[in-house]
Amino acid sequence: MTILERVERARRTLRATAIAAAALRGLAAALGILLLSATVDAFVSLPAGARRLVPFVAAATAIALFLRRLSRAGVRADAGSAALWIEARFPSLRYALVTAVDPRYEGRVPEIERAAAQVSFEPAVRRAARRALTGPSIAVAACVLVLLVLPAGAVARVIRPAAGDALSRVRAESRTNPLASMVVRVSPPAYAGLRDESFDNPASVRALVGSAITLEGVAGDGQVVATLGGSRTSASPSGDRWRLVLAMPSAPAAVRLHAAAHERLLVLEPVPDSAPVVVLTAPARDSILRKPSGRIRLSATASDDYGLASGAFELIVSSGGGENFTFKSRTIGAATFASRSGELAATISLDSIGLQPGDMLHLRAIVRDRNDVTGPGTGTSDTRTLRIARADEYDSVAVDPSPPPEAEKNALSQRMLLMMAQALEKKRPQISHATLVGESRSIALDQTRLRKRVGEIVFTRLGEDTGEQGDAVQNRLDQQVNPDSVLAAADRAASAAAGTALEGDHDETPLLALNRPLLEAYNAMWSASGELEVGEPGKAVPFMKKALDALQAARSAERIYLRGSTRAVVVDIDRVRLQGKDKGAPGARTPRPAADPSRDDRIRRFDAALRLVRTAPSAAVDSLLLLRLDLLDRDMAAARAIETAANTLRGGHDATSALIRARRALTSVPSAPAPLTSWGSPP
Amino acid sequence: MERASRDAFMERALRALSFALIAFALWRLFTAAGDGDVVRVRSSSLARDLPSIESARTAALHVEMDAALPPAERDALVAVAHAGTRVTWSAPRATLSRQGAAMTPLAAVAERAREPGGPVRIAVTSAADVAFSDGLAALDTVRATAAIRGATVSMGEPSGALGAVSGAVRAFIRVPAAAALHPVLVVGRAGWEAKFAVAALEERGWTVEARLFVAPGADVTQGSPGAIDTSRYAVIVALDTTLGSVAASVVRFVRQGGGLVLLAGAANAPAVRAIAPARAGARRLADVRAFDAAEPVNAMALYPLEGLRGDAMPLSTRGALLTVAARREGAGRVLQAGFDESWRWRMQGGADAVAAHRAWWSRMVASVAAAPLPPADESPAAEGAPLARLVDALGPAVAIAPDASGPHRLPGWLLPAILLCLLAEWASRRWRGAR
Amino acid sequence: MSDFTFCTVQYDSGDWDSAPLVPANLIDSVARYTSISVAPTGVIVPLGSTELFKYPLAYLTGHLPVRFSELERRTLGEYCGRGGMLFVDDHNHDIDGVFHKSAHEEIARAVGPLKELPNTHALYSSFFKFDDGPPATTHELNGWGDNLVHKHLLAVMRGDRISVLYSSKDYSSEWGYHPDNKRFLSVDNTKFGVNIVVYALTR
Repeated sequence: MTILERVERARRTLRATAIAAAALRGLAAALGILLLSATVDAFVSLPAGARRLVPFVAAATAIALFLRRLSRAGVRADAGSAALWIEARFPSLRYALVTAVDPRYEGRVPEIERAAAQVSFEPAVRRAARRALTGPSIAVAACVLVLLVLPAGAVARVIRPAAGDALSRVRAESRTNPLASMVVRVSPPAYAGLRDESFDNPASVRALVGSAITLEGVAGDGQVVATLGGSRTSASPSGDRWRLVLAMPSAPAAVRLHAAAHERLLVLEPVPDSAPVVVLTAPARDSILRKPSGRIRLSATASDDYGLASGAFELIVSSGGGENFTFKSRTIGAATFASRSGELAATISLDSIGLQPGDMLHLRAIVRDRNDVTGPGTGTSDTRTLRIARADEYDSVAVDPSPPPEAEKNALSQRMLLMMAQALEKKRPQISHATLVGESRSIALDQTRLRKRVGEIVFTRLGEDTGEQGDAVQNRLDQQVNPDSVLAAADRAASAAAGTALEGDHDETPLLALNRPLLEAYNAMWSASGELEVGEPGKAVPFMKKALDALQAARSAERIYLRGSTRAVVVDIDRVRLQGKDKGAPGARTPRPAADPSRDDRIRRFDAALRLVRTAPSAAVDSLLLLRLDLLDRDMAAARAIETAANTLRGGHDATSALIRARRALTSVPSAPAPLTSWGSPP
Repeated sequence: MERASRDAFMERALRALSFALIAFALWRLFTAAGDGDVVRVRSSSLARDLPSIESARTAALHVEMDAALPPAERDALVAVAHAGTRVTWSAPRATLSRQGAAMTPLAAVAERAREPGGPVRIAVTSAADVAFSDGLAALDTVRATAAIRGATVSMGEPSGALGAVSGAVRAFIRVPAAAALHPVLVVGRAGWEAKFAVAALEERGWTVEARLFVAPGADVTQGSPGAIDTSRYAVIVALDTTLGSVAASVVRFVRQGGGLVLLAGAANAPAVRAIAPARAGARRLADVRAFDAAEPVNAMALYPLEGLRGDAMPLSTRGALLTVAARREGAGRVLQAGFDESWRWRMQGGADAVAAHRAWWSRMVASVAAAPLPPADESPAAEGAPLARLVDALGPAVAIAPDASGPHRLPGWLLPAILLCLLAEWASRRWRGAR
Repeated sequence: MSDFTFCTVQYDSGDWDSAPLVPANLIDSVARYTSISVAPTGVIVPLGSTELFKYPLAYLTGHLPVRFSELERRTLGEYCGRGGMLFVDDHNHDIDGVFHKSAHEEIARAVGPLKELPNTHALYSSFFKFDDGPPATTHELNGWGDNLVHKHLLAVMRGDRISVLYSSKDYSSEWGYHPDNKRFLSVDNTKFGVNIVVYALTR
């Protein structure tokens, strides 16, 4: 082997040694960080966030150290640097080796090569390699050994931190207190489709009602017993641990855990399962139908917080009137769901239901969720009411999308008459006066006929709904039922200020109150007829336009509750005052309780917890948590403030400002607004 | 070599100087102050130093107020002054610590609202932030910007002694005991106002008796009938002119010390015309419809007060109309509020209307309620204006130069000087290369 | 200005105006037996309207299914929470009927579940004395509707006060006549209505 080959072999050995040593040092550093973290965690429970960083920090440190060692070691890149390394250890060579391996002198100075070849440097290279690797190897081995000695859980807490690994922690304290460290696992009901969750040493647990709450700890002195409400449950052993399973109640509650002389409190906060939210999208609004035929599309959307199960449309048909009603109900469009939202759709044939005039059809959508723990939650939509109009209700003006009522037909006729009058006026220059008058009177006749039909609508409304009080009203109507009185009423209607309510004021006659727009149309038609009778179609046109506008206004009116206003009876208070034969003898009144009778008690409990803050902080935290439980359904702001103070105390931080805020929230007294002063207070 | 000898001389001089300073310090530590010296103490250590001060019979004593001075120690200083020692005091010097703040004037006084569960109201004035605390923990803080104008703080019942700290001044505030309140008697016609007025008072914790007129000979009553006097009732509330059997006794009740609240047009009842602050004018509707949270009374109908008596005090107006007035009659008080249908505030007001309506009614009744005066508290621990008491006892603060030291005090520069000399001597030796 | 105005609740889903003479009849009775200042006519207020809060006692009846919208439900809940009282009467007099079932469901959702009101409650002695509880109606005694005489009324209580009073006895039919016709009756059957009004105004 030539000297060059020997040096090259030495170079490779040194290079490999440097790389291996750097890697071992990096590995040792990483293992050291893991070991240190596990040791610190054994004494001071590191938060999960910090533990998640440990592997990254270890890896980063290892890589950084590896690269740094490589750069400092000066990896032997060429034979010359290897030769220099050998020369440093064999001064007798006197740079013969460096010269020998220098490509410029290769083969030209054989005596130097011979001198270099006589030196055996391989053993030195091997020794150097052993020395370089021994230290890091021992360090790595030691770290591995210690990590193997540590409990697997403690190492896993820093390598793969996960919620619920609190029990894996190697604790510096003795294992006599089985309640010192506890893991709570929450398994929601299957129908919710949620994953299980674990919590380390929580003070309170929020979960869906019916969730299985598993408490687990390391076995120690005494058996663990849990008291929830009035029931006691003992924990069952599971290897070196204890386990206890509870169900999340429907109301907030505190679980007290006892084991020998140890106690611990856990607050259970149930999350209720909300009922589904259902929106009936079609039909979009109530309606009155002229004929009970046709098909109506039903559609609804539903959503739920955890999942829908089934839904359907409910129909109730009410038939009858007065005091006699019959009801029929059915469901259609049933559907099942497999997600948190869904849609219902169906079509109903009005013909198949057998509706009669006067019947009412009530529609709504009903959806149930998958809650099989506390019972399926039922959500219902708003109800739509479809009414089949009676023949005597065809003048109702609150129809949408029913066929046009009589008023609408009148409007078309009135529009036609208007067009005829305008056309006649337009061709006036081309026709004779006699022809003009003849045709104008013909239009007047139609206009009069139309006016009478409007008048009939007005009278028809009043003719049937007289009721018990009909005599008095009918007398008034009899006095007024003639064209002149109607015209006078129409005059008043037409001259009334714009914006007056359609159903009129209380002191108006029912006639006027009901038919203001129609009376206005009646009046205008009367005037138009007059002009047309004398052959003046041009002068009739404005009146005909006014009548058309009035009919349009009547058509687009809001719903008028005619029955309510027509049947108003005014009691003559002065006449009947104290005319009753019987005398009353009222019983004594009992006082109302104070609005919040337990407020003082809650303040006392808070003060008692404050006294424990310095001497027994954990007891103070428990007291605050129990107080918070009482406030959950009464005063959420105070409950939140107390929770913040309790959590601050648990973390060992200064809770002064949190306690001040909690105290202020709990003891705040509503103050009277200005302007009452404190006049009269003692000096 | 010359330089070496110069350096050696300087080193010996520095060593000698440091030894001299050490000797001086020892001498100061172990010698007492002379009769002509002013003994300086801090208020924070006064309790510990007082025995030696009293026994030493010093000529002059100066107290530096670095902490609140309890009344007992202040009184002890007064006694020392009376024994012949000249006692002065000064505010603490400015330090980095906020505790060493100036001696800011502070005055605080507490009163208790005369209503069940009512707040404790503390009136406070100070030039700096004021922190309140009780026997348990801190309670609240009033910022200087509010305290300098005089602020009123409402808080719940304190646990233990109530104190206020402002800078280096601490006040111990006396909270009057809760007065035992007699029931309220509400009279008037049965109606929504009666229903909701009684409900508001009961829900607020008042004990209420009622006489609600429903029909002739048919009243709805609550509580047992009996004499109308201050041993049984604290306040009579008249909702309208219907006083019934109460009419004969109401004036005597008020003159004995009872309270009377006249709502709406009740002031026009013949039985109370003579003692009402004003007569009730014609009813007017409110101009606004909505019950604004800040001024809800503006939406109430009103019987404006007219013809205000000379000894009556107007309390509130709505524009040019007088709405609330009060006067004293004998030992009692009469409050007249012309508002009508206050129940609409509870029903039609905002989200807090129910609680605010209750508080409004409770405040009205509390402002005139007859209640025995709480016993005077002669406890020396309670004083609401400590700085004023200090100035009154020992005179105003004086500024004193920081020259003399007390028997146990060394000048602040002494120790650094010693260390500097020793350090310089050592450095010089090392620089020379000597050991 | 009156102390008391009778309010009829108008709701969208049914025949809310099926007893239009009840308001006048009760107004007449209140004026006959008491000195309470009462408005001579009643008012009709939509259930979802803020106008409802002007009338702390409201009357609701009908034959048809009762279905409240979300606004009506919220308004009713707020109304009762502030101290308002709703009197509901089943005009069908049928505990198996759609009004009864649907009204129960809606009231439970809006205010709370209805429970039996003891016949010793202060309502039965608030003005006239009814020692046997709610007086029977002719419809009950004639076997109409569910053919039952209901011995109790139902109520949603807020503390110890009635927030919603529910009747299956069909007082709407019993009181649904013109007040002038009282002169033909030997016994005034509206006196219990006076109790309801006086209770609402004084308790």
